[in-house]
Amino acid sequence: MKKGLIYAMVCLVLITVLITGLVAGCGTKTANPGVRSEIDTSTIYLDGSDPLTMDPALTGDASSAFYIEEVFGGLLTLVLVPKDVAKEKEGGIRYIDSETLMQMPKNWQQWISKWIVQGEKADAKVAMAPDLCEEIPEPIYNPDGTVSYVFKIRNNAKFHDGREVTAYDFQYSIDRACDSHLRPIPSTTAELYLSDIIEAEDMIRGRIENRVYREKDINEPFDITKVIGDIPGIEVLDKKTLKITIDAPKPYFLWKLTYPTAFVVDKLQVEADIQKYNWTRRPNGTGPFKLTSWERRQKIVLERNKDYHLGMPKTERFIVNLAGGGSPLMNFEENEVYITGIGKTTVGKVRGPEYSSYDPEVYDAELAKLYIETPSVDVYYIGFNSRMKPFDDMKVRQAFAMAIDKEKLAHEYLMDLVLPAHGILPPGVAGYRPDFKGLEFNPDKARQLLKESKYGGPEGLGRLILHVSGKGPSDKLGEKLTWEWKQNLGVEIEIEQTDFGTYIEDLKKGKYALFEMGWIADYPDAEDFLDLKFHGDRSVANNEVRYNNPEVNKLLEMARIESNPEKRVQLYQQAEKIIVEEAPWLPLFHGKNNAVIKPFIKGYYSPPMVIPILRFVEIVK
Amino acid sequence: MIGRLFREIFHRRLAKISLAMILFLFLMAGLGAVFAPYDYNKQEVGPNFQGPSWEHLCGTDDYGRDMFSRILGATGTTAMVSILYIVFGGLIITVLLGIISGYYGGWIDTLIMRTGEILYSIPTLYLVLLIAATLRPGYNNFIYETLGWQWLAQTGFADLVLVFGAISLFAWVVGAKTLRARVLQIRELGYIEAAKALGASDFRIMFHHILPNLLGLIILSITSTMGFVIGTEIALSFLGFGIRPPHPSFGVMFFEMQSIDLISAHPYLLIFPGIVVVLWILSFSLLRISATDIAESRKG
Repeated sequence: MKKGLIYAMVCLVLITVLITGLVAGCGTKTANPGVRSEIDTSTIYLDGSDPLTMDPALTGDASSAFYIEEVFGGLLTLVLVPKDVAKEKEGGIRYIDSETLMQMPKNWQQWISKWIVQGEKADAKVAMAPDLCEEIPEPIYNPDGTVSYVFKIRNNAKFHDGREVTAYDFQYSIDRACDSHLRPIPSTTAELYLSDIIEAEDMIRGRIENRVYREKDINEPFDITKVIGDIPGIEVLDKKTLKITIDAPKPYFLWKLTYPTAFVVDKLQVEADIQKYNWTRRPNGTGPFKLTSWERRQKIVLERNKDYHLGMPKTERFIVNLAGGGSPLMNFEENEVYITGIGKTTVGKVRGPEYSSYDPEVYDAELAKLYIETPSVDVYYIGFNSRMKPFDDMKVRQAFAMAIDKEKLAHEYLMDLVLPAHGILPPGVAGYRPDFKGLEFNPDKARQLLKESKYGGPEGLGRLILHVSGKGPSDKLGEKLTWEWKQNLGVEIEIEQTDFGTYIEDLKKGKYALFEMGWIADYPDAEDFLDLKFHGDRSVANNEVRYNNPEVNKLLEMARIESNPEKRVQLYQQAEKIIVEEAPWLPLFHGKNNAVIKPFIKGYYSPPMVIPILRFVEIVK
Repeated sequence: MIGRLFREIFHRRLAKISLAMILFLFLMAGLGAVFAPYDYNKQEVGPNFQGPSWEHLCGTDDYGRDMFSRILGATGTTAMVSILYIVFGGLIITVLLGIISGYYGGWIDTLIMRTGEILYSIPTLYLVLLIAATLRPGYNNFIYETLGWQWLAQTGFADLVLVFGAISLFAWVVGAKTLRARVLQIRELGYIEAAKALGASDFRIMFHHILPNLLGLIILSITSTMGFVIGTEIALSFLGFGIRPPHPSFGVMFFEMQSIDLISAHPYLLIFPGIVVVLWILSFSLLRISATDIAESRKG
């Protein structure tokens, strides 16, 4: 009996090892991207993550914005067009008119084919377009120095439930976004996108009471024209005409109306259950898609809005898989999702002989044909909170910034899936300088700076924690960085990982001294990066590093009202130089969109920032 | 009594083999701490993603860390958790609670047993997770600020204490019950009464007379829970609530291996740590089987 038992145990161990090996080895299937006859052309499956919120007034992150841009709409929107199709307004703002916008579904496919061929040199530009308004208005310069824009709302603009969109709805929505008593929480993005409107800032800071709704309104018959607007800068001229007045000539202001904070929401729906705040699960928006189902961490279903005023979307429905886990690439190969991302662990499959990392055993030529890399206008960075020790000393921040080899990080560790960042502005924003040097990698100088700082060296820095977002014990990038800091500076740093939702909340309360973060462009303008994140007046929710330099503030304020595009770019570049030198951030890299797309998917092109794109995508067998 | 124990072990092949395996693993852990070829955390000691070679017996991971050293380090962590549990959770807590509640009976017995039952009825992993997650920030602050023992936190020892502490809160229940049952039996035996009559103190009776009879059961109860202890430590570290990087743990290693694409390209990253974890749990399970055998044979 004993003898048999031993043999049984040995066999058990061997079998376990065998099974592990088999599972691991059989993990790869040869890619078979061929068209299968069971593909249902009415539905497209994608990968995605849960939005943090579906309330446009509260949206501040890219995962929420992806859905918000498809389900909701505003006066203006952003589109991707060839450079020669876009026109230019004063201040260098690119835009297209309504006619070009309506022609887009026809022209889209041929534009994308050209861009895919052009690869990195694709001349795709982000431009402004009239969404719920008829045309982008020209600014009216008032004698008192303010500037007004008069928007005519489209006649066929409707909410998903058929109710027509009026200027009153916009008055309601923008007042609501600025409400300092907004439930469930006041918007932290209102100050970024709406504060240029006359007295909107006062409402945001609580100096003006928002009377937009009262409890008793709910029982009276709904009449949107009875809405009370408290922001003088928003005026309803008549049911379909809205006038917005800003405090000075600021050419970039119209970009801000393309961002969710300025989108329109349905007062009737929002106030039907103010206490429960459930309306965001089935929002009555104006966008090309309706959110018909949202099972957290499972899936989101977007059904097309047949009456969408810019043209019915080409595909009936999109189902976004939120569950994650497993292997996205395997799901892709089994046709469970039709578009998915390529990361560090899978990039070997699509990098062909022209890359130095080419590995013929891993390379999958069929899959590589489906791979598309497009630029993303963003920057990933490490933030140093200048109000928390030890980063209140600039020398410490500079030391940390100079102790990381960004070129090696981008080329070797991240395998050229990203671009090393030496400044804040990414390519795709006017003002980006490819030869900008910033703080160069110099570990000796870094150690020197640390010694010269008021903490005297690595021992005096106290307990350091690098905060990162994600699940589980480790963040790969964080481990790499803490290792480099240990090697090059002799500093011991712990890593603490928190799930994204909680992480953002804590970050915006200013709790983190050292953290990892990213910022993707809302619109293609340097203001979106430098002014929104570094101006001293910004609240900690947006300027998480508490940076406040009067010289930089002055440059940013001058740039706000500078109408000459070249001069404006110069002002931003001057500000960027100072900011990078004082190192409130350590810019690491600019990301890219790396995706594989099924050949039967037509009309998908990963945009450089979050803009509505799904209405152009369809399955063509 | 102890001499008899050794004789029992000596006569059983399974016991010898499992003890040998455990000893081997602890040896690996101890020697690993001193003789590991590389620092388990040192990155870029070799090119990334190398398969097993003479230089790197178990290959390298995507940071260029030597897998063999990492496995040795992780074995060390498991060994530490095991020892800490055996000494505090197993020997001290389980034995104390079991003997006390069996010997005194009455309200002490009820208190201890009922508390144990309540704790045991809650799914243990969730509770351990909850405790580790909520206590951690306060606990870390305490170690750092109040005690000023930075080195403790930095070597990862503080995390270890938190982990095995949380586990020990629950793992004692079954063992204590078994011991208590046996104590109830022994308590009625003649020589115990005799000892009492001669004026022996409770303490002396419990630990000098009763305890030696429990040795087999004690070993049984410890080995029964070791699988759970090791598994829970790995699970906690996997979820981010146990040992945190850069300190090594199999949980952290498994977390880093999560992507199937990664494993199919580099299966050795999973196979070697997997084998070692299997050995750990297997050896304690085998020991438990022979311990059951031993304990049962001495009941008569």
